[in-house]
Amino acid sequence: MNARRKLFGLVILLVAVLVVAPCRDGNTASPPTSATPVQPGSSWNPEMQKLLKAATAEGGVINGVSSTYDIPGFGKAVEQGMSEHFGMKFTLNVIAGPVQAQLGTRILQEIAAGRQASTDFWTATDPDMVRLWNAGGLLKVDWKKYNPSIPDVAIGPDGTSLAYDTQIKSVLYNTNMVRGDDIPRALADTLKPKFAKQVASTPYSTGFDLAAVFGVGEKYMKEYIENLVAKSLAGLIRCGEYERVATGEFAMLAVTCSTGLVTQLMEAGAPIDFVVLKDLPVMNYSYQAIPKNAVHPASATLMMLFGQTQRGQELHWKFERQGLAEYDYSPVRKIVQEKVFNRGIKPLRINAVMLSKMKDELERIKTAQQRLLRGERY
Amino acid sequence: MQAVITRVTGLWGTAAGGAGLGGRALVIAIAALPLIFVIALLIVAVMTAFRPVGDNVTGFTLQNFQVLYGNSFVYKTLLNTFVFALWSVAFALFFGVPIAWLVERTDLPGRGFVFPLMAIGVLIPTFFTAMGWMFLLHSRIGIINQWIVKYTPLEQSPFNVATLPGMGFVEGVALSSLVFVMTAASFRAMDPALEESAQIHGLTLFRRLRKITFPLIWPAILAVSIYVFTIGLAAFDVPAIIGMGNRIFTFSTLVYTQVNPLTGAPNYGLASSSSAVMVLVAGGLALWYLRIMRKAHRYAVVTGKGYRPEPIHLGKWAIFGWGFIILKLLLSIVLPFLVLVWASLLRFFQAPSMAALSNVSLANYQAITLERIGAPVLNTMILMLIVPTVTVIVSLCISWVVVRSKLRIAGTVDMLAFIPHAIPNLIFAVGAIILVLFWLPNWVPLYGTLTLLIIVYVVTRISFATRVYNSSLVQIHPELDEAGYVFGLRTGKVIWKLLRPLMMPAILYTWLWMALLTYREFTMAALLVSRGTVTLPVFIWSAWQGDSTRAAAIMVVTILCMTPLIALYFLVGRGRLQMTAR
Repeated sequence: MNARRKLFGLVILLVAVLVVAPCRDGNTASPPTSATPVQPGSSWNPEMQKLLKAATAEGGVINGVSSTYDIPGFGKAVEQGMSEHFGMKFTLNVIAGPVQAQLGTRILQEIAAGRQASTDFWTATDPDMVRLWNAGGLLKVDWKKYNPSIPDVAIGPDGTSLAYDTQIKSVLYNTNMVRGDDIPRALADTLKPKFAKQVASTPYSTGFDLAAVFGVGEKYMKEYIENLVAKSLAGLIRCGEYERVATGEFAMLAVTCSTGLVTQLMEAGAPIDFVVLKDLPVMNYSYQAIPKNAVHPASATLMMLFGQTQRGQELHWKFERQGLAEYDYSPVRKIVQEKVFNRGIKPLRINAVMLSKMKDELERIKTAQQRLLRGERY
Repeated sequence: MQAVITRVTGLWGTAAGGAGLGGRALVIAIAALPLIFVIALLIVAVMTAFRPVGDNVTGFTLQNFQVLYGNSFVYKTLLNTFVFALWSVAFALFFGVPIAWLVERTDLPGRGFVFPLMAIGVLIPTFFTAMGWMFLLHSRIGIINQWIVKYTPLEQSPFNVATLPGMGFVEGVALSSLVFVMTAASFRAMDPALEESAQIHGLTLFRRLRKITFPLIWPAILAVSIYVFTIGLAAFDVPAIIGMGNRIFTFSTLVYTQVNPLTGAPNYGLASSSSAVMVLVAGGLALWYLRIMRKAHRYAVVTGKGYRPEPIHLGKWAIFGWGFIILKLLLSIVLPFLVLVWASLLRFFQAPSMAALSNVSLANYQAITLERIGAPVLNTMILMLIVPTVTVIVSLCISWVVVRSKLRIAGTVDMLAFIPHAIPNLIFAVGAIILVLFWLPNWVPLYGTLTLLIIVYVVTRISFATRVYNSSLVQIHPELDEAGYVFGLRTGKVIWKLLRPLMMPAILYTWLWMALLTYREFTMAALLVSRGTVTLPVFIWSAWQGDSTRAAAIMVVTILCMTPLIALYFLVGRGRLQMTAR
């Protein structure tokens, strides 16, 4: 009898949970918060006022999915900054999710299925922005209409995306293992015999593809990668595994995906530094974009515009060590000045518009370079 | 058409015929339900394999197969993958099977503690384990190697974890807990009469093990070997961190950049076509397994007459038994957990040293708040309760169909139940999204719900549970069922009243184990979560992307929060001992 009661209790519990489980979706978990205007935004131009009105109608809610959302305090700081800047209350709900490329595919699937987007904004680098622009998945926005001072280089194809971070491709090195004259100045310096089987690269051929298409050319990069594989390459690590250089497992990484995380590790005391090479002075961009089927497009547009302001750039720097080097007030500009211009290097700035014209060529070369790095033929 | 109807009704008649008419049909229906999802997802996976790469593409192509199998490098990686998987199986069996025997077949003192200790291992993500072993056994930076070179006449590092046997060791040690769980139930179900007879006839313990014990649990060992081998084929963490970092590619790391590209459309088609190899290998192994299952009666040791499990007296050998268990725990739990705790106290991941010690702080723990972690924990707890329960019920029914029903489709049912294990979970997750977005009508509101996660998790877990239940059912003689039918019990009642009590240890182990596997499931969750359904692994992974040491702190906290479940494991272990004593 006792066992039957226990079983009955378990069944009731299970049924209760099964009933509750389907309800735990987006609509019930985070109800839209009504926007409470803090200050009337009368100082804005008419287009901005229209946008603010639309955002107010949306409740000032911005729902996002990001693979890197768990930065303590970042979301709240952006909410507060936006509310103060635009004079209305915003609520930023960002959840963890798949990586940028997979989330891009999900956005396109949702559009194809006639569903609302599960995220109001999408963060990705230029090739992915080109991909979703090409597939017609992104909302076109006339950014200059809202803020004429946004630099042209930051605006993606047809205004479908807006850059917020400059990604500097560089060689990351362990400062205990690579010193003085051994610090590379050009790609060939990573091939020195003393670094035999101590250099890592990424399986994505990060930076190599861009240099081949827009910089030193395909042949130059092919020869370099062949030499790298034959002489120095110890293995491949993923973007973000920079600690493996800090531990001494690798003397160098040629080349980094971006420098935000590298800067954070350096500030934490990791024995690493990075150097921009004269034959690979590549700088590309991280963008934000709004899916065509976004639920809160006006609020998301305002969030992206806020990211361009001094306050927005300061927050990107404070929490992610990121920013757009085109702005005087961005700390990333100082890094570019120090690591690139002060060393007499002319940067090769590559944005999404440039990539959109060369996307097939880039894809072909990237695939071939990745094969080389794995030890296959070109 | 008439022929088809006759065939279907005939099949149903076969299914529903015999003793226990309604119960038998119900059991078959419950078994069929998840398999319908398997078939649907399989169709999506196959279609994905023939889709061209890109967004908004239409039509079909063989391009993915050409890219993958027309490349000689792929065959080199396949060879690596097989060698790595074999080493993984070898090490997993080496540690897992003897410990299962010690716990289940002997009077080892304090053996109830082994259950929770083995369970802790599964809570530690393998990528941390891999990083830990790099610190210990890397040819250049490995601490053990450095000590050996420093304090012995050796001039070169003797160990190198960055080899296929080294990677197999790391993977195998991590998987040995799984082997333990999957074979423990079979050891427990063995009637010791044969062993006792052999002892009376003067056979030594070693010969008894070789001649009687291990041959009797051969189906269970084979099942677990196949299961672990396929895990080895698809394993990613160890090949990615140790292998790819040293230019040793396996199939999973080769496909990785295609499915998780830094930029560009993920090539799910390539991943789907890569699973063709997995399905072929798994299918071949499953057929071999089924051939053995056809001779299942040879392994039935639990009969209706005089079933009386008694433990083997270890005596002074108990010390060696515990020594072996402690070695395994040290390798698979203590060292990885110490690496995890160590990492959580740092601002960046670094090898232990005096300099690193001076940077130790609790800052990463101070950043953890209930506000941020609450919802993912709640969602994970709900999944951990529902997924194992549903999986146990449907898997029991499937295993009954496979082992007992004598249906002609039993082999097909077993293959279908095993297939989810052979296909990358990622493909199932992609398939599930396509299924609910494009195939199911809008009035079936599954997209973005926890229910979708439950369904996909259950479908992908049935292969694990059915392997255990098949082995357990094989060991229970059908005469018990027949006795039940003679007394007028329906099939459902036979399962519930007769088989369930005998299979209770297996059921409890698998339930708890699946709860733990649900706790750490990431690949599918990352694709399927939406607002309000974020799970703990997805939350941890997102933290890992930005700061590995902060992620380590969250993991340490969550492992400590899992203590109640571990305690439950302990209670199950103790309860099992009491059952044995009775």
